[in-house]
Amino acid sequence: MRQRDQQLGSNRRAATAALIVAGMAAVVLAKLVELQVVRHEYYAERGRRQHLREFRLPALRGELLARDSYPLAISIRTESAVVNPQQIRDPEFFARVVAPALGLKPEELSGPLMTKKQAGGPGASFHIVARHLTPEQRERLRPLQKTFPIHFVPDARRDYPNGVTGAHVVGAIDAEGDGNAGVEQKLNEELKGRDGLIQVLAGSRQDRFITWTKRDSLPGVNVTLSIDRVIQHDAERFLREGIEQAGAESGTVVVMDPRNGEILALANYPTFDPRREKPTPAEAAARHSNIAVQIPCEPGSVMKMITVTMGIDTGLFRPESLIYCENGAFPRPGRRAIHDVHRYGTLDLSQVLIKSSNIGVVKVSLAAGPQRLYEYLKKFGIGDRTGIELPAESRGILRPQACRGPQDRNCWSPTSHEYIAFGHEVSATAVQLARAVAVIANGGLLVQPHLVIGKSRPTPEGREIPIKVEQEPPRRVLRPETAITIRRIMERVVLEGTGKAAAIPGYSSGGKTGSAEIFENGRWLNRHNASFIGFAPVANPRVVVVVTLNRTPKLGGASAAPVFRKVAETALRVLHVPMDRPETEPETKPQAPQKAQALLASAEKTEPREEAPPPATPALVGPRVPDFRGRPLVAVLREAASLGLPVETLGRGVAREQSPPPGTVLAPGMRVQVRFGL
Amino acid sequence: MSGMEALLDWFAAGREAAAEKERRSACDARLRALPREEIFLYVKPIDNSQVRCVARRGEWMSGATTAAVFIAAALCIVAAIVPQTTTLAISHRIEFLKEERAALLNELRRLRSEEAALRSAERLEQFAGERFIAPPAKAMIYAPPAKGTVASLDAR
Repeated sequence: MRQRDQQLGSNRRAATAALIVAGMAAVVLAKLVELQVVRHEYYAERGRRQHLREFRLPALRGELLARDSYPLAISIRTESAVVNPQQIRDPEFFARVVAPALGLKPEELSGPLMTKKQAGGPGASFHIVARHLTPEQRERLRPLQKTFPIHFVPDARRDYPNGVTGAHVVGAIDAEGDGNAGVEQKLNEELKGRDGLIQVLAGSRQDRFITWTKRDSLPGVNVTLSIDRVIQHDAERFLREGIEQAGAESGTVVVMDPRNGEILALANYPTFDPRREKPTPAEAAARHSNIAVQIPCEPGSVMKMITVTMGIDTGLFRPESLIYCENGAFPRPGRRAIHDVHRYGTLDLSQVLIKSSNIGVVKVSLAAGPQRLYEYLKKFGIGDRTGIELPAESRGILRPQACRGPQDRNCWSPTSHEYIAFGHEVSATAVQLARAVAVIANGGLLVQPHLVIGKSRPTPEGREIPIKVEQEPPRRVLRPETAITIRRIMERVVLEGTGKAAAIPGYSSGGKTGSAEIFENGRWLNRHNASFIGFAPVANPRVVVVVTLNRTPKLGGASAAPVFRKVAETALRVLHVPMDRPETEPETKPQAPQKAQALLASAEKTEPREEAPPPATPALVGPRVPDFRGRPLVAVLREAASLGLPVETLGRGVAREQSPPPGTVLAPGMRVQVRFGL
Repeated sequence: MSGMEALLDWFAAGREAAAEKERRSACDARLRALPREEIFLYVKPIDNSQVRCVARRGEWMSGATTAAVFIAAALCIVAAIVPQTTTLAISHRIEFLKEERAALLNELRRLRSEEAALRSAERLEQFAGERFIAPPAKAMIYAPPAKGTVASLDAR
């Protein structure tokens, strides 16, 4: 019996042991199932990640070129030295040995290393010891690789060979190689290309066995800009000088080719140095404020150009139409009167623009009505983005003319069109103003201001595949006769009006001054946003220049016009535009009558001398005047523009008479006068 | 069993033949001492007059075949290895040239950057001073290009 009990106990223990073993086996099996079936993908992926590592092969950023193909921004491949701080046992010893090889102080290296080593966490296993190593630094570091875990990784340095010149156009890049201003930011995706991938098969100790390229890097697109380096440089210099002389805080200059909208120069002040990787706070602020496209301001009197254009283009007024300017104060029912700086009586429309009469343009606006004024502002591109290839472009401020309801405050009031007529209640950027002036300068076409004139993608073989750049085609918004009429009036603004300081030696020019007093915190500051918009030469404008100086105590004619003159003169000379005026006006100082008679008498008394040979004069090689007779106005203007002939038109219809006659060689300063008749 | 007997007979015959041979050559065997040495050499005259070289045709063919096989194999190996080795060498050469081209292009970029910096307007102005943009002579008359606009960008 006892033996049987023992047998039973033994069996039970065996069964229990078997159960335990089976249970353990089941646990192991379950874990195996979990590892191999349930979480198979997860662990397989981890294994792959451990053994198969991917490294980024940075693509070379595209170049930015000036219109003369010199680089404005160019990337150069370099190498950087990096370490894993967790693999460095003694950072101070490391720093003492490595820092002299890089020309650094040991504490500059040990400090960040210690911090990362102690901090741990993400990012603590990567530290850049030195970026953009020189060949000498690399050679000095190479033997130290046997002692320390220093790695060389491919990198790229962005060079800006022109330095500060064109900083706001070109822009800059951040530490990660992405653009953070200018074209660098706007076209970042195209410029940066696509990074390549290198795969490495590594062992458990991360010893690399096989390395291969999974994907080649695709270099970024090379972009050619319309910027002329000399005009850009001079625009920046003259702007800086103008700001210092005018006591302004900031300012901008835009130089544009009115025929196609190419921006030849775009300068802002204050500016920044794109080469600095760590800019000062002031530079960082300047980097992100591109005044010419981002900060609109009240244009003031320059807006009168559009109002007067509207008056003529609609046929309501002619240049010689008379307007009574109320002797300087135009009382408005229920509100403040509108004033002029000077007391003008009756002026014709051209004089309204030349003398910059607020009351005159208000009467033009009243005659045309708000709807027409709004249409013409839109025709000139006010309130619309230009589409220039610069980031964060402002559309300016132009409220809708029509209200959506009685509670709508974001629309024109019943008096808005009176104030907008002379540049209040409206804001525009310098680039928008340049586009508006270009409409007058190019004969009535609205062009798209742009910076990019060419793109190409470099191939690994060293060739370049051009990429088509599409621009919005010019759109006619004004009759050419109107544009030419306004051009002639604007020329008189420079010759006899508020813009005399804008007269360019050797060239004819036209323009309009503007001075909008700043109203801030409930009071007028006696500071102005002074501006000058203009073009040159008048017959066939090659450049449009917009100058804006902010918060200056001076008016536009005294502060902005001289900057216009200098910038436009440089641009015309750089572009080899022929002079159409004598460079220096002949001095016609009258002699005193008695002195003149004495001179005459002495001349008669003297014996006739052998005449000296006349001084050699350059042969007249200027353009010959074609026969315009019998042609319509548009055909005459087109041919004159293509030959660069200054033409003065009188009347309408078909050309009947012309002076000088056909075939005459036109000397500088001369114009062709063509009389039209029906 | 008969096989075993035959084997034993064969052994016995062999032993007898050996003994016979020993007996026949015993008379010729002499023990000679080297002079001044306590070394004795057992000297026996050998008759080589009956020795003949026998070449078997089968063995010769076998040797030739073996040699041919070895040569063919060697040629095959060489033929298999040479193109790959050449390809490998050319690949290395191409890679080297690619790297060199990349380095040269990079150097070209650096030089272009340097040239642009040297020819930047700011730099030129430093050297040229007032004459950076020389004013045109007085009373200069410009001749516009024969065709197109007066001063097109293409003319620059």
